[in-house]
Amino acid sequence: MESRVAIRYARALFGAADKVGAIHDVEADLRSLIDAMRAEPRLRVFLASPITDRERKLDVLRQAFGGRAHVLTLKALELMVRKGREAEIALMTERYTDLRRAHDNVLYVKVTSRGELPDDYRVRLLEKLRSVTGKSVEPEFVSDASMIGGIKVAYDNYVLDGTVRGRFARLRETLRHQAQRHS
Amino acid sequence: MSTEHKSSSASTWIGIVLGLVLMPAGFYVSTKVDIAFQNTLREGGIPLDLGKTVSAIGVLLILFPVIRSFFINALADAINGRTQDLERTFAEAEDLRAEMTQMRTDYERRLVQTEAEAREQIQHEIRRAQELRQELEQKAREQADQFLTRAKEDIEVQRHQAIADIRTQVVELTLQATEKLIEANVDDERNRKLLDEFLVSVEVPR
Repeated sequence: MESRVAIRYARALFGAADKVGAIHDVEADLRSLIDAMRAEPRLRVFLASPITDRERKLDVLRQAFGGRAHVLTLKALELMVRKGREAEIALMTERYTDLRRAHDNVLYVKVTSRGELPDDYRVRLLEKLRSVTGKSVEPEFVSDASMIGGIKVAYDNYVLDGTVRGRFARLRETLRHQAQRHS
Repeated sequence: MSTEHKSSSASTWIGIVLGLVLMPAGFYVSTKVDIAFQNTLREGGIPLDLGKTVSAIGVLLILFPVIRSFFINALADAINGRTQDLERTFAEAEDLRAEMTQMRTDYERRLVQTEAEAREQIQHEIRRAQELRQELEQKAREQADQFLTRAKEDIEVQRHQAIADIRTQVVELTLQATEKLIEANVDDERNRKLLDEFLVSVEVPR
């Protein structure tokens, strides 16, 4: 239910930003706000608090942007705060980003590896994805120390699991099915 | 009966009249008439008085109807009545005996019939009981066979399941051990090989 609200706000804001050619500016504003909320949890708590005065919240948002934010961003955030949708800001930002990627024909890819993925592998991987999908690739590289080895690539609804653990999982399923079939 | 009675009555009166005649006649002969051969007989030791004899016959002829009338007839009537009573009693007894015989015959016939029916009923019930026993035995055998078959199937399924579980556990333990072994032996070089292999073999959906 709440995600629908976030989608509606995101679509409205994206449509307005597209008309004035400020899609990326608005997204940058929203991203900076989300980064600030991640960096400063008190800001997130302050904005989500139902007992804090809304005008006070708006003042804090204006001061946080320091006059650098696009007017559309400020208007959208004002509207969400006045409607009591502060908790939807983060989700609305994600949906806005999705709309921007679809608009720019960009493929978001999350690449997980045990350590830092070497540059040559990054280039080879992104080139392969680009050539197959025909889209620009926007990667997010994540390091997961719990992995044994290998790599996992996730985009849209697909997961390409080349990790050791994934191989073991597939091998486990195969052997289990064979054991069940032979018994 | 009436003719016989009239004849008897006439002979009675004739006897009486004859008696009345013979009685005085005999007395007269005994007292007045001397008969020669009576003397001869008397001398011979036989004192026969023919007059007295005739007179006695006359008396008997007179007394006989009286005796018959007062004693013999009554006695005859009593005897006849008694005879008739006996005959009636015998007849009734005979009837009763015949009736009893008939009743006994009927009773024996009914008894025989009842016994036959009872035997038939008993035989019928015995046959039904035997059929029922056979039917129940057949059902019991079928159920026992079904239970046995089902139990065998269950045992077979559980045996297969147990084998599958054991295999699965063996696989799981083997994989866990292998995973730990590989985890301890994956270095950068091996990781790069894994990455190379992934980039070569991965099929990227469009």
